[in-house]
Amino acid sequence: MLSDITIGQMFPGNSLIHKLDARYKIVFTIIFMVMLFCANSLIGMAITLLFVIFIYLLAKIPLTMLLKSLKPIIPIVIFMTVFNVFFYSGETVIFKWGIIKLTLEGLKMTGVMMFRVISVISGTAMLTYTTSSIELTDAIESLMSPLKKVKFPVHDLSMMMTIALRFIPTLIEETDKIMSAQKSRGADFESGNIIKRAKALMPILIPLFLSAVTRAGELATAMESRCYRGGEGRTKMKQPKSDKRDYISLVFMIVLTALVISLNYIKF
Amino acid sequence: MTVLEVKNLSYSYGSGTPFYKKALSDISFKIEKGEFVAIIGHTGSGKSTLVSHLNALTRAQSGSIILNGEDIYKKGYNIKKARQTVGLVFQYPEYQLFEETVYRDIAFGPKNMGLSESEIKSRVISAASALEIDKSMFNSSPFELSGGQKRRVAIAGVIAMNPEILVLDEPAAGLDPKGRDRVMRLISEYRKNTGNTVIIVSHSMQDAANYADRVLVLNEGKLYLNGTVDEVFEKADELESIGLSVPPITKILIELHKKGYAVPLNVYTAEDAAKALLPLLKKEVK
Repeated sequence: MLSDITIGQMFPGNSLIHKLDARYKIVFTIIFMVMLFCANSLIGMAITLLFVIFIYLLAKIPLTMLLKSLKPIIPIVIFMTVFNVFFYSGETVIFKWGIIKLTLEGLKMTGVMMFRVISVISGTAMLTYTTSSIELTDAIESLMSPLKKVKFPVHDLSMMMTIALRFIPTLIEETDKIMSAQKSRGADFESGNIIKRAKALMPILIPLFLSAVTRAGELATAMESRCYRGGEGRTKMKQPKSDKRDYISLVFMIVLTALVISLNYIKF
Repeated sequence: MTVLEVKNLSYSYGSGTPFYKKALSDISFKIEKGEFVAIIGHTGSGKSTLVSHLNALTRAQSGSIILNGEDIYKKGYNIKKARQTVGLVFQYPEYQLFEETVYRDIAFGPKNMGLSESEIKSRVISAASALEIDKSMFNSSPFELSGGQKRRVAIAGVIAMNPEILVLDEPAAGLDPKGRDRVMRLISEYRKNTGNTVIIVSHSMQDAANYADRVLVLNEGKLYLNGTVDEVFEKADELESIGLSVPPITKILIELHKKGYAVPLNVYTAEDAAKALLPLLKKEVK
């Protein structure tokens, strides 16, 4: 059950998308968001959606995976739809009942919202699907390195992110294990009122915190005994490299975004 | 009397993703009341996955588990009953300890069963004495104890629920040799005193040979061998072909046998080996 979480999980592969420089991928994700939120025309939105599907095909990530990662946001989408459809004030009333009215503008707005939510999740998920957490944090460190000039602890921040990302699956696994152990001892997490349920979480939280603290201590010792002392003078085994693929993709992204934005101003 | 029957059990992880893995395929076996069964196999052979099915923590995609004549996958079956009948002690169970005192931690299981205060007390006391936990430890925090003590407290926490079938996943893993022997001995004594069924998961051939009546060998999610200790360790070559081996002492005797010495092959402990080898030694001296 807990292992069904797919956001942030990497999908190993050998596609063009996997091979792109992670720094560029982060920039592309930002450009993609700009494109997404600037797309107001029908054609522009269609292009954006097609682009998302195109990227998934290119990265050879099964679409079922995408659907799985969209599952948790279904309640949010439904909530938004209901609100938008019935409470958006518009001119062209299709249907009216008390304070609830259905307008053409409301329907349009809902469509746009749904398009944006789905695209933003699937588009940004692509970054973590095709980039390992080490590549990702290295890229963030490299992109933020100008901030070093103002004494911002860029390296420490990226190391913290690496460690945090690295331990998410471990902690999930551990939670699963402790939950199973307590369930075997007859613990019940599903019934009772809120207070009872919160109390029932104690047998999970205490061992989990305890092992997280122990693990943190062990990790610190391990890092120290390998002479870790922060970012100063530290070199990288894998230097981030960009090449033709990245430049071409960058140009492609910019052109596509320009196209989508300009479509807003063209009347058909 | 058969207390537990596993029929054609199959289970796989992450179907439809690149992480798909078949963990168990078509496993069937029966366990009789009062038996001591060892499940052995390599890391990743499916041992732990198999035992998590026995008390319905994991649900198999196909197959069935019959507990005391009732199918636990049947609609309307009370899962809680399965969890009380089959007590499962996980690998490194000391990580499940959470209460303020040892007494309260052992009492957690019985309390969840809704027993009366006096019944809980007697269960805790008998479980603690079965695991040689001194009463003076009852009021100390479980986190102050040594590794071996924690392990015994955690096992007592499951035994206190008085399960008909006690399943232990690597109960001796990570303990020093003395701690290992002690835990294994206590489990064996517990079975003798209560007549309950015990299943252990282990990768120690020595433990399996010393304590179990019957051995199930798992390999890559399949039941590879199922027989008495003698029947299984007789097949030393087959075990070696899947990367397992016989207990070290048995191996010495097998090698001697190959060299032409008349020694028995079903010897698993140092004492028995000494008995078997002494006559040979006397002959050589003559």
